[in-house]
Amino acid sequence: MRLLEFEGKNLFQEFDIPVPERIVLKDVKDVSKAIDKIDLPMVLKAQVPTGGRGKAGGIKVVETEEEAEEVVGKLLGSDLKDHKVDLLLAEEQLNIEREIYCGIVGEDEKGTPEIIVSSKGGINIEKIAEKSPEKIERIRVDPRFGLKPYQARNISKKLGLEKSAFKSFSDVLFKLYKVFDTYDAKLSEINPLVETKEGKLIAADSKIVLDDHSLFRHPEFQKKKSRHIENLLEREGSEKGLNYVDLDGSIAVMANGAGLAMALMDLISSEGHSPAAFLDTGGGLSEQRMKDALTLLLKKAKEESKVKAILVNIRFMISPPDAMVKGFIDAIEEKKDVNVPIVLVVRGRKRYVEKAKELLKGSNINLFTDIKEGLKAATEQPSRR
Amino acid sequence: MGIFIDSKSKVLVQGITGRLGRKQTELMLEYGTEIVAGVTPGKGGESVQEIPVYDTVKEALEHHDIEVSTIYVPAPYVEDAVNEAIEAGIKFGVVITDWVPYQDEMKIKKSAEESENFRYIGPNVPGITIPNEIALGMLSSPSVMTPGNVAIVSRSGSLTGEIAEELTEIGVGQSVVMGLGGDPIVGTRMIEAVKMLEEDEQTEVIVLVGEIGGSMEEEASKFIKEKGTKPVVGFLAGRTAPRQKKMGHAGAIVRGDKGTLESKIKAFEKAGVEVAETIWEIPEKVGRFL
Repeated sequence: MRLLEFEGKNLFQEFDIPVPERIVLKDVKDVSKAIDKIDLPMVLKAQVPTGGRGKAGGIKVVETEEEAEEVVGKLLGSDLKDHKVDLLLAEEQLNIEREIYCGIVGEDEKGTPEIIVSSKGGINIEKIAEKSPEKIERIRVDPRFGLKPYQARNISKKLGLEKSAFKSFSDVLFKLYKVFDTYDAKLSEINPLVETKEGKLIAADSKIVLDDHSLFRHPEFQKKKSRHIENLLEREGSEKGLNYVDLDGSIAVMANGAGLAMALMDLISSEGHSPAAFLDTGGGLSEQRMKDALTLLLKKAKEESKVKAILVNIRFMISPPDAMVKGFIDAIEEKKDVNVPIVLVVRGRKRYVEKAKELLKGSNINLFTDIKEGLKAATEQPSRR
Repeated sequence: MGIFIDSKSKVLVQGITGRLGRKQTELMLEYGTEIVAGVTPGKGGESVQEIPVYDTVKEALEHHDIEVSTIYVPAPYVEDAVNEAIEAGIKFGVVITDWVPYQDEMKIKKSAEESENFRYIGPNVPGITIPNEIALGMLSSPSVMTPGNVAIVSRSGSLTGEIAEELTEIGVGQSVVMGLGGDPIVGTRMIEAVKMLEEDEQTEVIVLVGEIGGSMEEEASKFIKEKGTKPVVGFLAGRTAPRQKKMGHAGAIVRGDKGTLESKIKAFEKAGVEVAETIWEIPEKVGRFL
């Protein structure tokens, strides 16, 4: 889950990384509070979980209270890069001498945290990484011991900073690692880290991506996990622990495994049709999970009449089919106003496949044990419109 | 010894008294896997399916000769469990648990690398099976797999069994069927599996099942191009997946051009890997090499 800028800055502050004077605005009425706290001109920044906010018009410098009210009024509630702006951050404007980059990211191949720094920070960092990789310094550290102060000093030395800046930069980097480590982040980044004309280093932005798998250790973020998912069905999926992706075609796809669901989507496309939804039910075939999953697809079919079939593929590995069948029947019963054919393909452990067949006898689920036949049955359904 | 394990491997189950651990112990025993002990802290002295349960891995190893451990402990305790296995002298681990914290996965990987004697697959892996010899994890259904000369290596759990079953249905047997795990950081990467299969006498054809996201396929392709001698059939799930959408696995997310389907197909093709466009093409393409 990606944190908003101000949430990231709050974490920075917790670890004594210098951040600008700032206040969060929810309403035009909050502008006067901001003016009391922060000198004009100030910067107003839309709090949405995405990059490129400046270019999209989500960051404005204002000179007067009237101007501030106008900008706040315009930005709040607007759509910025597919996200609704609910909050703004008002900040002091910094006297920028230069912009530095520092970030810590988990590197998947070797499985180590990578520390990345550059004296050329700012919005063009990706271009710099591509065109002049020599301007970027990287080191990897042992995830069990973390970044040591001397390692932070060594990499900081390479940036060619003046004496005082060198010391404060390595200090910021060390603390940034503390944030990464303490909050189980996959990424923690300051870009830009501004060196002001007064010679101070201040984190002008924050980008922190937390690991969804670690949120049980950070309950303060756990319930916020799904908040930025704009699509309601996707949000419901996420809240129920299902991997649901909303798509635009005619056949809704569900399987107990992401690879299997993707392979099914690919088959549907190769037959000249298109998937309406992707749903990976994840681990286990519990009654509740199965019910939630099928209910989600039935909702999708109810909303969009162009969904002409639901295609489900369940592979039995270790769980017997009883709970699954019960969950499915419950979902269908509760959503019996949705008149969409359900095609179910069951494969895997033979005795479970046989059991599923027996349990589903007489139900209105179309059952197959061959993917080809199931696919055919789903794609050949007439349109519901 | 086969790939990591063989029919003589003696197996420990960490997390044996949990719901999943119990169920899988039963099914693995049914398959013929020689499970000799289980571990659950606080449950020492109990038994599951007549298998003795110990409080610690160390204790289990004092009473039994064990090289392999299958790990079912809940996600928050996986890091500890793997480290315990390493320190006790386990040689091969199968980490079934999913939703393991990312930074814990980094720490496990580092510890394993350092130990030199320990290797593992997973986390978030269905398991590994040498048909009719031994099954570790969820791939323990006799009807799905049959002995033969085709190795299946897969990032996707559900597809691992599906593809094995498709091959079995047309009479093509498998030397080994193994998952690698769907998470970004896994113990054994595709390239390492391919290197081992190159050395494995039983294996004549390798099937690699990849998906969008990450760089494992690209990395494995480099090795296949330079040093591979055995025919390889590749399949990639996610041809129709929209970009930037997370399709289930943490690994299956495309960032920019890295990890795209195009990049993986190109890498496979350059390495001479036969690319199957749908799962149905896999048996046919494999058949050509047998």
